[in-house]
Amino acid sequence: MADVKNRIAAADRGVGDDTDRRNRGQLLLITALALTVILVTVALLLNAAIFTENVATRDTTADGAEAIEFRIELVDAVGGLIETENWRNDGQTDDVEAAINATTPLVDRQHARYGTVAGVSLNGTPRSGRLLRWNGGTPFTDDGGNADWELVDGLDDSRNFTLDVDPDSLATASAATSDNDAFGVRFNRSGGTVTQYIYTDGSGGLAVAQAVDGGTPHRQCRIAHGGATTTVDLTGDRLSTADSDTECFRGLWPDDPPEAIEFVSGTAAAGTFAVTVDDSASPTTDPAVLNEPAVYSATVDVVYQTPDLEFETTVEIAPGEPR
Amino acid sequence: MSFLRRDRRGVSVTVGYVLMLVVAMLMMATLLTAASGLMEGQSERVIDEELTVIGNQLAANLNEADRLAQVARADADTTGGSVTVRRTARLPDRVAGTGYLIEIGSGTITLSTTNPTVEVTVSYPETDVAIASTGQLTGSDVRIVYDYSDDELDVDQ
Repeated sequence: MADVKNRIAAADRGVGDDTDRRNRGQLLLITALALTVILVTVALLLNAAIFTENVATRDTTADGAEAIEFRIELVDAVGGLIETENWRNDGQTDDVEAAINATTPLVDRQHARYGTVAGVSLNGTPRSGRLLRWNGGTPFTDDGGNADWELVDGLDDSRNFTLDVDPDSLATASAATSDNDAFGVRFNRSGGTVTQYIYTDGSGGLAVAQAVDGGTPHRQCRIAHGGATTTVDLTGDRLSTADSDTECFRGLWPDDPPEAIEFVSGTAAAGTFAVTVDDSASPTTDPAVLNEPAVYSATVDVVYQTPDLEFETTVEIAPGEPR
Repeated sequence: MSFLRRDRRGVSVTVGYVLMLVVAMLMMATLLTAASGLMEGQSERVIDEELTVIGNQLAANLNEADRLAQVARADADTTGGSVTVRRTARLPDRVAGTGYLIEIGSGTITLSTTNPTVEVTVSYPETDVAIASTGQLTGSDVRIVYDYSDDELDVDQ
């Protein structure tokens, strides 16, 4: 028979049974609580891991690219404005100044919609220059019929120098023989000259060869002209026709800024040209060249701000400046 | 009362009860040990992962500031105008509940925690503009400011 004396005695005291019951299960309870805390912590860690993965896929630096993009767009826009003023209007700096000032609030308002502060303001006044354009007949000789003649002297800066040439008018040569009778553009700079000879190679190509200080010319680049007018962009290092385009990675512009520009063997080419020079230059007074007022450049302050980025810079915009 | 000392009835119930308690305690101890070990391992993994992400984000911000500084420097060299490049890298204060430290070296960013001890090194492409950062930074937002006169990116908080 089981011993029930203790239980009976406890029941007689009237307290022991309940107290024992309450004491039981404490171990389980504490362990369960500890396990709960651990599992909740693991769940929080898992949550943190998922959040980290989420953050890892976010691009937190997009506003930097937008700031650079904004600057590039602004340079393009003001550059276009300057060129429009020079080519379609009368090349007055006041017009460019007024147009940039009119743009300022529009830019500000446009970007405010996207939560960014973006601004453009003119720094000083635009710099004036001269636009020199071919006004003669064919070929590229001056009014007196001279094949070698100087276009401009006393240059500090020049930009956007392009020639549109008729390939049929060019001499046929090779790079090595191009300095004999091919048409050339000579850049005089302190201590020497750089001449770009433009010729056809006899196999449907228009080529440019460069001679430094009267040395042997070396071909810089070539384009298949297809008999059509070909643009030689000397400041942009590029040859192009209506159908194709060639980058001249060896460069068509001298490393040192030229002080004067001359044409040599002008009888060996026909077409047109244009170049914008700074105000200090002394262009030829030959009637074969149109000398018109122009805006050389404009300097603008650019501001782009987001909560995480502040970018301010001052840019001089002179479209078509040598690279 | 001496008859009770000779009485062995009901002993098996007590022994069974004690055994049950011992087994239960062993089981719970095992469970707690395993669970806390799991938590510790997971915690280290999460911290490692978070520090790697933070390091990469800081590296991206440094390179972004470098690009902007290069553009601004080229402009300032041409125009002589003033330049401002200030970038704030938004970084968390804590990773998995613990603070951390950041040390920026040449081409590497080292992030570390002390409890638990985790260290992560993230590589980033060398910047064109030199980075000036002295000592360790506390894990939090970091400011990157371009100093045109010294041609360097100052990193501080």
